[in-house]
Amino acid sequence: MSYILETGQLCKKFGAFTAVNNITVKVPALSVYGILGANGAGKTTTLKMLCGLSRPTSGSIRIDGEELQFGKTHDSRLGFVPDVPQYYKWMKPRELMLFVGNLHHKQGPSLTSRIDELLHKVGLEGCNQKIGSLSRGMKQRLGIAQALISEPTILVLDEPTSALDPIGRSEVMDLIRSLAGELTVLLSSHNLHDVEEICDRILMMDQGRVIADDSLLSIKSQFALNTLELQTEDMYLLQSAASLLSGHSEVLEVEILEDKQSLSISVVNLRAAQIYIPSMMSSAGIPLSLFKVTEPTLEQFFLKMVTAR
Amino acid sequence: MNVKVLFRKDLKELIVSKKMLILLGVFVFFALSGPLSAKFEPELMKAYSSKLGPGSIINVPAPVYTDAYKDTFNNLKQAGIIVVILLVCSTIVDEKRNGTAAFLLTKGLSRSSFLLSKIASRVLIFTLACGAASFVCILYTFIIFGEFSIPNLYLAFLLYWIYGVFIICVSILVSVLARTFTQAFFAGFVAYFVISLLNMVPYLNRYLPGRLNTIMSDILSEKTLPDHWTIPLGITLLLSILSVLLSQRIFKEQEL
Repeated sequence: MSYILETGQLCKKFGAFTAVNNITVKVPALSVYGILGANGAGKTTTLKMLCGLSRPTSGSIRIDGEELQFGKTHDSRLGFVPDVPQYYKWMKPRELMLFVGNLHHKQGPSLTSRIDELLHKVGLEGCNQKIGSLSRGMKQRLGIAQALISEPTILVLDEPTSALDPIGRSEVMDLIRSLAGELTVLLSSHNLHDVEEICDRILMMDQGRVIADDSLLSIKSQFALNTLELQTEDMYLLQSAASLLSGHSEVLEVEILEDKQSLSISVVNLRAAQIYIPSMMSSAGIPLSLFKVTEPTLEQFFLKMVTAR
Repeated sequence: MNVKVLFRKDLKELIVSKKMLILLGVFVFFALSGPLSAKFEPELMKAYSSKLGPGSIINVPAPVYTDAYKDTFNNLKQAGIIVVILLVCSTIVDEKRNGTAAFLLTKGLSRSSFLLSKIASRVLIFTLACGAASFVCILYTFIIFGEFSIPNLYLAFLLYWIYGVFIICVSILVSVLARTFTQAFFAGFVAYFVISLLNMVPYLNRYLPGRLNTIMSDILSEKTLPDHWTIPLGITLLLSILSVLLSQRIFKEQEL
């Protein structure tokens, strides 16, 4: 596997406070890599170091194999969009795109067609308003478009949906999803749902440290909850099933979820339970309308990891 | 990286934000009000003395065209420079706080280019304002008094321009150091106050930027140029360059 971005023992201290503590990460090329953590976990500081805006106290950063030095950015290889993008309010989107393109030594018809393509992609092709009057969602989409002008290999997004309403969030998420496979996307978020929705690899941070770094699938399989969900036709049957299962030696906990009219069952062995529970229900004459393994959510995993620390 | 693109953007921003218009307006206003006040101040004083009652006499010398230049320069040296500080001291701090500095610097633009573009654009609008003020002041003095020529008048304008460039460089340094606009504003005025105060220190004042103001006054009073007048000029240029280098050095180390 080739890695587009690597950090080695990356550390950032502000006086006695350690914001980022010995982070070693390898970001595979063309992945959508999510940095997940609560506020103050060190996500933004990490991204700022990756973009050359903050000097690491120690450690190294390599982009495409080349060592990154503070104050020097990898001009066209890295596109950065901050959490609340601020551009020149007096410019119009097309004007900003042209300015950014010119900064990257791009001009002429190729730049014009690239701008048209990107503005179309982010849904701002007909926008003739000044940036100062754009909504946050539009600014975020414009931020992504301007970051793509130079055709970067990595797009770094710092909490891209944090300041957006549900519609703006959905638009930005769709946009990020559409970029998957075209370039490496590195995004930070404290929104577990966002990360779970679009990232194929996740770095979890807490208090400046990495608490997990793996693919979403692997994280979920490592964290098997051993929980099943069961539904019957009515509450009477559900209660009968609950009392039946409570007496089983391999069942750890049975909980009636009244809002869903279902049972949540924690078991010792998930595979065995998938066999004996339907069998018990069948013997007791309780028809099942739903029986499934409960998939652990990233939120449950994150909370477990943080609590364990 | 294309510094020209950034310089064009900075200039356009100065026009859009009306900073250029404000500076030009203020300088041209002073260039017009100098000759006017020189011409009509004695008459106003006479009118005032007649209201004081019998026995009150105020002797006012007849106005001469050099008074027009003196009045203009007095306004430009004080209020003009304060306007320059106000317009320049927020330059970098605004970009840092708005996040636009981070936006530009992640485009591969070097921090030196970023800083130099800001300084160059400010110096250019100051030069335009000085040029417009000089032209208007000379023309209006000629219209009102029928005379305009003073030996070394161009030098007085040049010295003022150099002093102004020095103030711009110091204001940029202050803007790099400050974290908020209020800090920048306050520190800019403290710097200006210190520069003015040092001009009162005997012996030392002969070599400092404030000395340029005294030389300007001497030129406008048609006195001969003082000996070694080029020394404060050279020191002012040197301090301007040092301010830029220091700003560059500090800005390169700053985290955004």
